[in-house]
Amino acid sequence: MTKKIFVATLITGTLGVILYLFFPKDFEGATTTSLADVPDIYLNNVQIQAFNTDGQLAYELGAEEVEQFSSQHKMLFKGLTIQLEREHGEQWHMNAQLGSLQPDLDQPGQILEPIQLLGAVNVYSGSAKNPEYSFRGANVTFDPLTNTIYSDEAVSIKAETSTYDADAFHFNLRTKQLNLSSKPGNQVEIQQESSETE
Amino acid sequence: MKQNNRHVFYAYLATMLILLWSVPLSSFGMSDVKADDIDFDLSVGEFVAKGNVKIDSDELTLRADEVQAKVKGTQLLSITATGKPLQLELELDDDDGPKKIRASALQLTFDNDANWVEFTGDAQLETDVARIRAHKIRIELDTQKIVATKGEDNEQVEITLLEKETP
Repeated sequence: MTKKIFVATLITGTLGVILYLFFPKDFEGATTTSLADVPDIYLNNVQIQAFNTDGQLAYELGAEEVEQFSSQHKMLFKGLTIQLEREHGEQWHMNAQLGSLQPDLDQPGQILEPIQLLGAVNVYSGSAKNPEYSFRGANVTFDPLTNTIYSDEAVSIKAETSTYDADAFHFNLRTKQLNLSSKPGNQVEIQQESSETE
Repeated sequence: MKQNNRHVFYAYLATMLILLWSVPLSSFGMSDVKADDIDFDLSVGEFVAKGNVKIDSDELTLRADEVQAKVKGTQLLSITATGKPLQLELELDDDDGPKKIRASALQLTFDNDANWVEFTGDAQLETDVARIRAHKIRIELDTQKIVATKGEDNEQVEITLLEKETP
């Protein structure tokens, strides 16, 4: 009888140790999910118009989905498109699969902070079929206040008959000032398409 | 040329040399530019390329440390290039076949409207018929003239006429 009690105690103790070693971690993981990681606002098919301090339309943002994480002061966009009009009616379009933004809490009505366009990014002016300027890159930032787009990732730019390849760029949409730089061992390259006709 | 005359010729402050070649350069094209960094003002077609600059086209090859240029499409309108030294190679086609001009200098200036190329600072230029070394060498493209000028110091213009190979 004493032997049976001893064996039962031993088995129970062993199971207890196993449960203590393995199961608590799962429970811990499940119970420490922060509310900050969960969006508190979810929106579908959103169109946002952002205005400058002088009341001019800065840009129009469209997204298939928007998630707002209030505790992180962050908005995430899926299927992001941005359109803006510059001088002389020049239209700029930006597309990215994902985007993020950290709005200024002091100016909740304005969204003029830099927008991160994440993943593969396409920026162009004019029409999609025959753009005047076309930027293809990744992880591009659009700053509405300075009218600039920039990235530290490789980019390929087409403008008229030229193609520009670089490891990083900074472009002013208003002045058309383009700064291209390369990483060590690489070079910025500008190639001209031949204008010769057969 | 007598020895005295030769001495006077080299001692003058400016030395003018007219070398004829068959076809004048009308404009330079640009098909490929490489550099470590490039700042391009797309609104006016002006760029500054810095670091290991290479400009290539069918008719020219330029290697320099820094190039400031103005372009219109594929056409180079003006260039100011610097290097230690910069290297330029031009290839010209004419009725007698392709002709090459090789040059090096500390600075190159090209103005398409004024139609000249100027090399400054330890300039060396070699054509099919002559090798020239001077402080400044200017190629006037419309008159097909090369002007070599000595510097302010005692350095003189040095011209070596090359024998043309006969087939």
